[in-house]
Amino acid sequence: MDVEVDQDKCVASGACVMEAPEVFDQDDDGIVVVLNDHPSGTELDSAMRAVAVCPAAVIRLTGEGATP
Amino acid sequence: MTSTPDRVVIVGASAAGVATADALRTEGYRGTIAIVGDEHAPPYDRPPLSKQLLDGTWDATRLALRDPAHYQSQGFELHLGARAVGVDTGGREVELNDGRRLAYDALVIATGVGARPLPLAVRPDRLHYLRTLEDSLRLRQALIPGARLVIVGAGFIGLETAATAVGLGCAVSVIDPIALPLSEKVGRDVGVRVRDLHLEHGVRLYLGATVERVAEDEAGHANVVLDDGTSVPADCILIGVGTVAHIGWLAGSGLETPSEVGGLPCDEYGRVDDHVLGVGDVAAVVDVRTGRRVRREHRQNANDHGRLVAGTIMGRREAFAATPYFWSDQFGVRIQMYGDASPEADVEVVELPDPATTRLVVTYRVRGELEGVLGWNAAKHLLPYRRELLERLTTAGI
Repeated sequence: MDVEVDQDKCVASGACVMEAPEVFDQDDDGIVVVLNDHPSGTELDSAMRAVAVCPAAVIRLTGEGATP
Repeated sequence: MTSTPDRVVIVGASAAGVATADALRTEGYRGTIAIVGDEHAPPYDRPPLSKQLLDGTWDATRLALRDPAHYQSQGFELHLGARAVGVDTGGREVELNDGRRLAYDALVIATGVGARPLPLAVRPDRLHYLRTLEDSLRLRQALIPGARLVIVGAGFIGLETAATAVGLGCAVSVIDPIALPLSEKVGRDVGVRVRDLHLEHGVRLYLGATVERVAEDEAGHANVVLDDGTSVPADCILIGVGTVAHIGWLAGSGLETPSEVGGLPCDEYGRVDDHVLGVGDVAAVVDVRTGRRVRREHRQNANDHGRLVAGTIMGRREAFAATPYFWSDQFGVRIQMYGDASPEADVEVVELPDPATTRLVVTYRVRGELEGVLGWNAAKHLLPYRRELLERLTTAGI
């Protein structure tokens, strides 16, 4: 699955970095940066938790397996 | 609930309701999920209502919480424009305003809050509240350059709207009985900076003041009259004096008695009783750190509650433990607070070196233990403190 983010909507909460530090980082203003846009295994699980916890609905997982 | 329910009905189609539905599917729940919302718009996010939607940077479609196709792909029954008017807890049915009845095994109440009304006699076309998409679009029409906006209430809604309206060229006044805006949430040191930020941008602040009445003359001019007799001219008036939890619709169900902090009394798993749970702004969930119920009307809480009750519905018993979080954007400053700032906390303000802009990290410690941290344009610098707060949650045996 691919990770897509809408940086314009990001509110810099950093919730994704707490959940999935291997997949997400923040720039100097706290805006989301994707480190790994094709996570798998445990990193994918963490990325899914990041989707759920993001307070601005910024992150989307697309592609195969995106729909349970 | 002794076994996983077949039918979950979620009343409330905003952030907390949608978060709950998604969390259930993530947990592997395969049963029916019905979501009932009284607004007609597809589920949308509210924080931009005072910011990007109000100043016209974004149109309403940018506020959608999910892609339109999401609800169908997840198999959610979405009942929009439908208002729940009652619950039969014995028969386990929710009654809608169109007469339909939805059966449930688990009912999730996510009805949120509404703007607290202020009983002011004023021409209705100049009076505004800000809670819904419709409210924001209507206020946007009124915020033409030069318009005089008077805001009653220096909370998040009032201050963010003040900043947005100044950006649109309005002349803005804010009235509140409090001496320092937001000081109850962020302490006095940051309250001073918030006050000064607004003063620097030309907002007229009437602090320590209350509104007596609105004086309107026959020519159509209005003045907001304060308790000391001051008259503040107003073309439009926004009331932002807090909220009321939406639990009135539960009258007669046995669920209508508010908790000691308002809203639905929930335990640490989000349960009101064996078949009813509460999430989001409406839900007063027991905080296991203190044993007391807390109701937090912040966006992050909607997601955190959604995950909590999805787990509870699936049979897990993990008490609610999440670091409270809120943010606010005003005049290009992003204020972020993790944890709490209790009145007895020792506050330390550290200014980060940056010639271009003010960046602060503010810590709140009680007996030496970190209780909260606030960033003022300092998002990235907060991570270590957040890890420390999380550590404390974990080591508290939670």
